[in-house]
Amino acid sequence: MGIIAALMLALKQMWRGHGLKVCLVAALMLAILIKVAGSKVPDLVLVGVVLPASTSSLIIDFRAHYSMLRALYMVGATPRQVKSYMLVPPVVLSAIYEAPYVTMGIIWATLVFILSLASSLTVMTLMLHITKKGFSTFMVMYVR
Amino acid sequence: MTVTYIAVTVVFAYLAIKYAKVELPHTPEKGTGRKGSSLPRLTFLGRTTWVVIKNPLTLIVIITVILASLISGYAASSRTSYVTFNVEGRRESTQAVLVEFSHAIPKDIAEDKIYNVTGGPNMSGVRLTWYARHVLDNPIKLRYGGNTYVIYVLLGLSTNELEKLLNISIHKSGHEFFYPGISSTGGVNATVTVPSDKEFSVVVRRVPDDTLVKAEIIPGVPLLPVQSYIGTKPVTPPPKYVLVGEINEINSLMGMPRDIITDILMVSKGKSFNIRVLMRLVRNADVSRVWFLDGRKLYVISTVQIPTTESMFVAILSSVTATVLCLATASALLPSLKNLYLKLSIQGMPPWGASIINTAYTVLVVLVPGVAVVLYLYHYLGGVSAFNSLVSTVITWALMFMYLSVKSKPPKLRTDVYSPPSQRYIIFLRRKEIATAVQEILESLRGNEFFELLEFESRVQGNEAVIHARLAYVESWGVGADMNVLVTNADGGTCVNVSCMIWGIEEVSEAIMNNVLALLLSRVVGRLRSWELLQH
Repeated sequence: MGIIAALMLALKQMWRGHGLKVCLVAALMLAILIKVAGSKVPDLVLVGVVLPASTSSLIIDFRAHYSMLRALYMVGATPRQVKSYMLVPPVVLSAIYEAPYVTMGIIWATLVFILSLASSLTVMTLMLHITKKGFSTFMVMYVR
Repeated sequence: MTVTYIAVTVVFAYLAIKYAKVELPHTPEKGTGRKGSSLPRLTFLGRTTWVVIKNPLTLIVIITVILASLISGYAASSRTSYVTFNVEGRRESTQAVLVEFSHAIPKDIAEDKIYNVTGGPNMSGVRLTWYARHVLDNPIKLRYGGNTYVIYVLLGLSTNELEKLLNISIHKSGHEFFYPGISSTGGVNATVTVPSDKEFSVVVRRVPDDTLVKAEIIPGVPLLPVQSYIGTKPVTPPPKYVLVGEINEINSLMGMPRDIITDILMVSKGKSFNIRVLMRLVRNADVSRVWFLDGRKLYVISTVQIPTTESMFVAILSSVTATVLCLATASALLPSLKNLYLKLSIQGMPPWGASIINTAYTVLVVLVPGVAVVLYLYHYLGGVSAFNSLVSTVITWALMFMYLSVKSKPPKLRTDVYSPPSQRYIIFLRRKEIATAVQEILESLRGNEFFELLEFESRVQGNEAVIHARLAYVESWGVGADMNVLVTNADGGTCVNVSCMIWGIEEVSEAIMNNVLALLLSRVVGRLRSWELLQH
């Protein structure tokens, strides 16, 4: 299985889960909020919403991503393949969340992308850490 | 407000009765030496709530609620409210506006404030009239004929208005005032003592009670200052507390400059005013209330601000956004929450314990940060922003509470719950051919569209046969089944004992596992049944 397969697997898992749908709905709501109330609300408050938004969009599929990562380890995926899988959800979610903020200017949109990517990557790294730990425990039990 | 108090009291009473009913059977008898169970139970509920709150996901909910409430509060906008009354029996088409300032100000400043909003002094055909209506916190005292009268309201009018509204004329003989409590029609000498203990010698004449009460500046607006409204009826102070005089005389009693006024009346023959301009006047100038008479309609414009439709839309939208994000987080929290409730209910937690923990959790995580934001906005941005933010917080809280309550319910101990298929199945057949039975089982597994046969091992020895098969479920990646079958001849027939185990490389849900198990068992059992039927 190559990197492309890992990427496709991540996209498929996102499509099957609820996180992408939550992300799309939240992005739509944010777009309307920015349009209606963007001039009255401080920019930092509007931008700050992306932190919990991207995190919750990822966390809702935590179990699904966790099992897929474990499955990847079980079929002998390379670290590069695992990292490829790991990068897809944060990038896709950040790109979607960036879209509503383009109306506020490219600088704010970029900031949103960076914030969203940072927060969701943190969650994914945590997930990877837990998976590795769980996988090693599982392997020890299996070998015994 | 009263309705809210009653509702809260009823809810608390209901909860208290419910709690007492549950706790009463557990209460130990007096003298047994055992402590009551209420306190440990409350401690247990509190500690469990704290365990749930300590979950890192809670932080996401708190941040979401705070930001959504802030957005809602910052985006709030309001408009001035007004009520409309119909003035009966009026045929004139003139417009009249009475502006009541929030405190006494000089005439020229009042004019400037009004002209800044209404479009300057070039409004043609507009007549201005001034009033000084002072409501006193500390009364002044009027003494004459050995009696002392307390005065709370000082009413200052121009000479023309005194004649027009109260039908009294000024004699210009010293400091002249009018008081309804005097019986004689002629003037009497009196003394007025102001709160600073300064005394004035004045002449007081009578003004009829009825005239004073019925006098109206414009139709529907009494001359006496309006304290409040009961329905549509204005409440004014009793005439016995009112002293009337010229504006200059009234101001001199108050120790104020001569040109200080509290109200201004503008009367126009044409259409010089409109409601929007006057609403702007209330918002921008230092005005407490405006009465606007336009034809037969009287508008009372107050300083009370009400949220606009756009503002409410933003409040609902931000609460929906917050709810979507909070529910996503709650969904991630649910498996551990359900597991916790299941374990606690096994240990004796009553069914309503979960509801109390859910309520406490959502209150602490959603309502408390939300209310903190509401208080912040009320302090810095005002009531409308706080109201908008409160709407947002309450909607988010209600939806999250409902979601958690519905989804985290422990399974009911009823017969309508889904019963999963057994992992073992025993079937008795009348036919005795063991080898043929083994062949039938093999055929049932081979020609199966749901499973791919990976391994099949069988051994027939005497009256017994043992089968092991491993199958992969084709509809899902990494899910399969191991099946062991024991076939024996017994009591003139054949006993087939099938046992299956479903496995998955991924974490597969229990529902999917049960479905796969049911598919496999039904295929094998069905094939054997039809094989037996063929013989008969």
